[in-house]
Amino acid sequence: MAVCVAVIGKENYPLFLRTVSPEEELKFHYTVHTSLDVVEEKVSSLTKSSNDPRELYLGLYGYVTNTKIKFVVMFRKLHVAYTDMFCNPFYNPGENITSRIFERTVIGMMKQD
Amino acid sequence: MDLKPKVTCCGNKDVHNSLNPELERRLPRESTEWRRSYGRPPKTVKLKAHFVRFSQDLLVDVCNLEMYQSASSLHRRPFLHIYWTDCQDPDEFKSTVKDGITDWMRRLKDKNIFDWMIIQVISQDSMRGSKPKIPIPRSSVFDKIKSDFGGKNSERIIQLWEPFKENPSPRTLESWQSLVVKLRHLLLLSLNRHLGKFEDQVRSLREKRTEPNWSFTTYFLLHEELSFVFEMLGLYEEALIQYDEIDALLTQLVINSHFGEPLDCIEVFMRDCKCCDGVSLEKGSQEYLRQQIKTEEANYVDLRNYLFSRQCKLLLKFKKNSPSEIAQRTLEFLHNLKHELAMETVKVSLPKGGASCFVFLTALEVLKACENEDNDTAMAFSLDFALLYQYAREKLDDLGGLCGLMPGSSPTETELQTVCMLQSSIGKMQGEDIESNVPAKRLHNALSSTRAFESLYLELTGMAIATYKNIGRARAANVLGMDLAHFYSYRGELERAEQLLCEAYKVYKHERWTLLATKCLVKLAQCQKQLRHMDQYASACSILACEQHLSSEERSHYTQELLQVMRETMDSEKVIIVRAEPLLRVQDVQIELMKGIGSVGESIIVKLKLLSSLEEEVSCRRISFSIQTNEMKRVGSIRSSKRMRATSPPDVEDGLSSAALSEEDLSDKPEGQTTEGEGFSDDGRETIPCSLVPKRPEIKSSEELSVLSANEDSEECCLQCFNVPLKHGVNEYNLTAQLAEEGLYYLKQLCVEIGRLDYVWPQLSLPGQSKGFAIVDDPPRINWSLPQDLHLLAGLPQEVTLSISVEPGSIANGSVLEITSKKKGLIFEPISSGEAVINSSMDRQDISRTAPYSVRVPAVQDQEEDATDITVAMVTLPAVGPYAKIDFKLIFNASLEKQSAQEEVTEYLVIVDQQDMSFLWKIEGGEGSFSELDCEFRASFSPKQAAAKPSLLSSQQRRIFLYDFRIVNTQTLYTISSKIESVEESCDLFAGSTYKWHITFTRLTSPQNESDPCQLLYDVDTDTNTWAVSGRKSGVVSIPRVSMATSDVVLNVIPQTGGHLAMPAIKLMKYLDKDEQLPEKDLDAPAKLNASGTRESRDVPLLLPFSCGQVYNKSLAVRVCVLPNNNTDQH
Repeated sequence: MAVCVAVIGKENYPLFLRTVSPEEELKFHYTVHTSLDVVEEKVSSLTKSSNDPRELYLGLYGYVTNTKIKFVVMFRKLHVAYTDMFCNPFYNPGENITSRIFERTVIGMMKQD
Repeated sequence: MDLKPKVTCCGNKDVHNSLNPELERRLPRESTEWRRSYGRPPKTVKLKAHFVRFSQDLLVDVCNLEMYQSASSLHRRPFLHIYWTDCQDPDEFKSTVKDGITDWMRRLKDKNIFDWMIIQVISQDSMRGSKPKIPIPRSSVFDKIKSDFGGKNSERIIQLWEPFKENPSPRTLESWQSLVVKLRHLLLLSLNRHLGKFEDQVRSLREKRTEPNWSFTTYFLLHEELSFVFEMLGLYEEALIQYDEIDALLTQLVINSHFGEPLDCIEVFMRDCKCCDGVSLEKGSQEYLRQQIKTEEANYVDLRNYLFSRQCKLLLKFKKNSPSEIAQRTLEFLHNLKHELAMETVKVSLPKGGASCFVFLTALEVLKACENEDNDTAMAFSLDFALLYQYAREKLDDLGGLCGLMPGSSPTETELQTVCMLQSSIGKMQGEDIESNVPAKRLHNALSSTRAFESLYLELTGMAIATYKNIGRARAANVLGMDLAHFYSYRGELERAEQLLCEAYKVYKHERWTLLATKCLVKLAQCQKQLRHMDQYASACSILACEQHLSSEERSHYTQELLQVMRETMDSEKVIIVRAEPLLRVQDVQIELMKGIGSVGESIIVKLKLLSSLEEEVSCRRISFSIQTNEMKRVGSIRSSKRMRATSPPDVEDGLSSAALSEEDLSDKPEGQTTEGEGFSDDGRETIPCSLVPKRPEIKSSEELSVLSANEDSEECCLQCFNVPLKHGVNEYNLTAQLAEEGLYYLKQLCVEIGRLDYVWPQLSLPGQSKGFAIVDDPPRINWSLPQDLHLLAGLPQEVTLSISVEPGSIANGSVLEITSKKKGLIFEPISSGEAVINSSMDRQDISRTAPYSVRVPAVQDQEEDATDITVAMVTLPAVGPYAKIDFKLIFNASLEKQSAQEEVTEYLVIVDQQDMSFLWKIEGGEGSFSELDCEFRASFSPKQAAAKPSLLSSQQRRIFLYDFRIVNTQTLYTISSKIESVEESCDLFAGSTYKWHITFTRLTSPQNESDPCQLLYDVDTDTNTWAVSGRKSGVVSIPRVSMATSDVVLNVIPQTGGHLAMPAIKLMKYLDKDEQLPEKDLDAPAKLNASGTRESRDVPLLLPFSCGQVYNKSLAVRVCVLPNNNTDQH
C-alpha cells in the first residue's frame, strides 16, 4: 500500500528513503521534500497549541489511506525498527541510515499490501 | 436574479401602485426575528418583497399535495395577498368596495389561502373632497371592514394615515411602522408554513430514493426550491446547506454505485460531454444548465457544474466567509469530479484533454470571481489559492504537453488536431461578444498561439510561487521554481532559468537533500555552460566531477568538462575562484616547527595532505596558504619575554668590547633551505630579502567566494609551493615561507591554483597545533669563558672558550664568524683548525658531538698600523641546529705595550659655570708599595666660544690648570674581626644568655720602621641597652711585627634584647710605652700633643689614635640575629 517510506532527520534532511519502484525515487524525493512544508506547519502548530509532549502523532497519512488501523500498526512497526537501528552503538545520530535490517523492515512493510 | 417573496395586491390600483415602492423600501430596513418550527434556532432576516398585481393565475391550492410534488416553483408563488382601499365613505364602501373585498376573499378561500391583509389608506384630501360628516362611533369604514371581514383575524386589517402628505405627521409615521411590522410578521408566518410543508415533502421524497423509478431530477428540483426560498430571505448559509445536501446525496449515490448499487436515478445524465467549459458563474449559463437538467438533456458533468456554480454563487454572496473556503471547495470539487469520472459506473466521457480544460477553466473562473470580490490580500496569503493556482498550472502544463505548445517543441499533425478539437469544445456557453479575460477565451487564445500560452503559463506559475512563498511553503515554491526554470531554459531564457535553479540548489543543498541538489546542479550546469558563465560552470563541474549520486560515466564527463574549462581559460585575464570542497579536501596540515615557534628568516615548512577526487592528474601552478598575523597586543606576553632576551647585549666577559661581537655579525647565519621549485639565494645577508616585509593579508569574510580574490596581491606572505602535480587520491606537499617579522601567525586560506582556476578554502578549521605558529626574533648569544676563571694576562698567549647558544635559528655549515678587536688590544693567534663541541638541548638529553672548525686571521696587523687599528679573526663554523650550543677555543695575545703605562686621558668636556666635574682613578699598589704618593693633576682648557668683549679668557688659547697633591696613608695597617659564638650546640643566640665574643686583631703589613708599635690598646664601647659586656672591656694586646700576625681577645657578652643587633664597637689605638715615645714624636703632631697632654697629667703610656683608613673593622657592619629570651616570655 505504501509506495514510499522516508525517515527525515531533525534538520529536514533525509536519513532514509525507499520506494517500491526505484525508478520513481527522484519523484518521491521531490514529493517528500515538498511535504516537509506541511509537516513543519503541523509540528509548529502542535508545539504551540498542545501542552502534552506525548502528543507526537502528526496525523498525516497522505491521501492513500483508507484504513486507519493499519497505519497505526505500520507506524509502530517502523518506529520499532528505527529504535532498534538507533540502539546500534556504531550509528551516529544524524547519519544516513544504512542498516540492512531497517531496510528489510521497510521494504517488507511496503510490499505487505 | 434577486429573489424576493411575491405579494399580490388587489383593490384600488392607484393607491397600491403609488405606495408599493415606498413599502418595498421600508420593508427591509429593519430585520425581524424568524422563529422556526422544529426547534431550530431562530434566524434574523431582512425581508424584501416583490409586489405584483393580483390575478387568479397566481393562486395555487395550498392544500393540494400534488402541487409540491410536481416541483412547481415555490419561490415564484405569492406568499401574501393584500387588498388596498382608500375608501372613507361608508356609502361608497357599501356600494362597491365591500363587494370587491368579498369577491377577493372568496377567491382566496377557494384555494385555501389564509395569508391575506387589508390596508385602508386614509388621506385628508379625500376627506376634504367629501362632505364633512360627524363621525359616528363604530360606523367608520375601517370599523365596518373589521366587522365584516375581520372575524378572528381582525389584526390583518390595518390603517395607513396620510401617506401622501409632504410633511408626515407623527401619526403617519406610526401607522407606517405598524404596517411594516405587521407585513413582516404575516409574510414570515406564511413563509414558515409553506417551508414546513415543503421540507416535509422533500424529506419524504428523499426517503423514497431506493424505490424504482425514483428520479433524481425531480428530487433535485424540489429540494432546490428550498434553497431558493432561503436565498430569497437572504439566508445564504441555509441556502448553501440545501445544495450541500443535494451534493452529498449525489456523491453518496455515485460512491454506492461503486459497490454495486444501481445508478438508474441519474442514468439519464450519463452521456458524453462535448463541452469542457467548466463551471461558469454566469447567470445565463446557470439558467441554461438548470433548464437542461429540468428537461434531462444535461450530462453528469453539467449537473455537477450547476451544483457547484450555485454553491459558489452563494459562497460569494455570503461575505462573512473567507475566500479561501471557495478555493478549498473548488479543489475538493475538482478532485472529486475527476475521481468520479474515472469510475466505471459513471459513464461519461470527455474529449482527450477535456478534463484538463475543464479543471483549468473552473479554477480560472473561480479565481476570477474571487478577484472581482476584491479579496487580493486574502488570496495572496491563502494555502488553498496557492494549491488552486498550482492545480491550474499543472493542467495547463498537461495541455501544453498534449498540444505541443511547450517551448522547444512544435506541434505535430495530431497535436494540431487535438488543439482544434479542444477549441471547439470550449467557449460554447458564452456568446461571441464576451470580453477577453473570460477563462474560456483565454484558453482558446492560449491553445492557438504559443505566445499566449506561455504568458498564461508564466502568470499562473508566478502566482502559485508567490502565494506559496507568502505562506511560508518555500519547498513547494521551490519545486514550482524548478519547473519554471525548466520552462525558461526550453524557451531560451537561460538567465532566468539559472537564477531559479540557483535558488533551488541552495535550498536542496542547505537541507542536505543531496540527490535533489545534484539533479538541480546538473541542470544548472547546463544553463551555465550555454550562458558561458565559465566561473560558475567550473564550480558546478568541480562538484559534479566527484558527486557520488552520479554514475561514473557522468562523473568522468564532468571531469572532462572541467579540464576543458581549464584549457579554455588558460589565457584569460580573470582568475576563476572555485570553492575547493568537495573536489579537493584537506586531510592534514602539519607545521614543521619545534613547539610551533620559528625564528625570523627561518624557512617555515607546512606539510599539507590533499585528497583529490578529480579522476585525472593535473598540474598545479601554485599552492598557497595565506597567513595572517594578529594584533600585536595579543602576542604581548610572549613577545616581551623574548624581546628581553633579544635586546640585552650578548654577555661578553670583561676585556673585550661588546661592540666587537655585535649581534649583527651573527644574525645572518640562518640560510634559506632550498625548497621545491624555488630556492632562496644562499649567500649571506641577502637571505632576508627586502620584499619579505610582511603585508598583512586581508581578513576574509569567510563565506563569500567573491571576496576571496583579494588574496592575490599578498603573494609574498604565503606559504607556497609551485608547479606540483595533483593526482587522484592523496597528495602531499611542502609549503614554505620565510617571515621577516616576529608575531603570531595563523594559517588562513588555502588556495590551489590549477591553470586560471583557483580552488579556495575560505576558512579551514584546523586542529590546535596546526592553526598557526609564532615567529620570534631570538638572536644567538655569545659567551666568553676563561680557564679557571682567571684574569687574562698580557704578553702571554691566552686561550678562551667562545660559546654560541643558537636559539631557534641554526648555523649553516661554513658560516663565518668575524671577531674584531679595536685598539690593537688583542692579537689573534692563528689556529688552523680545532674541534668544536656542540651540545644539543633539543631532545632533552644533552648529546654532545664534535665538529671541526677553522680560524683564519688575516694578516692585517703585520702591515703598518693604520688609523683603525683593528684586528680580525674569521672563524669558520660547522653546522649547528636550533637550540644547540657550540663551544670552540680561540687563542690570542694581549700586547704588553702601553698596558702598564698610564694612559693620557684625552677627553673633551664642555662645562658651564658652577658645574662640578669629577675624575676618578684607581691606583693599585703592589706588594711593598709606597705609603705616600706625590701626584700632579693637569688639565688644559679653553673657552668654547669667543666672548664678545675681550677679556682674560677671551682668546681661544689653551690654558693649563695644574694641581699638585699628595696621597698619604694609602694602606690599611690593622684589621679587626670579631665573632660571637654560642656555647651550646645550636647556633641561635638568645637574649639574656652569655656568649663568647672572639676578637681578632690582624697586622697586615710588616712594619717599615721601628717606630711601628707592637702594642695596641683596644676599647669596647657599647650601648648597654643592646649588649652587656663583661671581662676586660679595654686592654692592651701585643702583635708581633710580622705581616699577618694576629692577636686574640675573648670577652663575654650578653645580648640584652632580641633582633638584628649591630656588634659592639671596638676602638683601636696605638699604645706607646715611655721609652718608645721619642722616636714617635715627630710622626704625628696632633697625636703628640694629645700624648703629651695625657703624659703630663697622669704620667701613663702614650695612646695615639690611628688616622683614617689605617684600621679596618671587618665586623663593623655585621648584624647578629638574637632571638628573644624564652624565659622572659614565661614571665
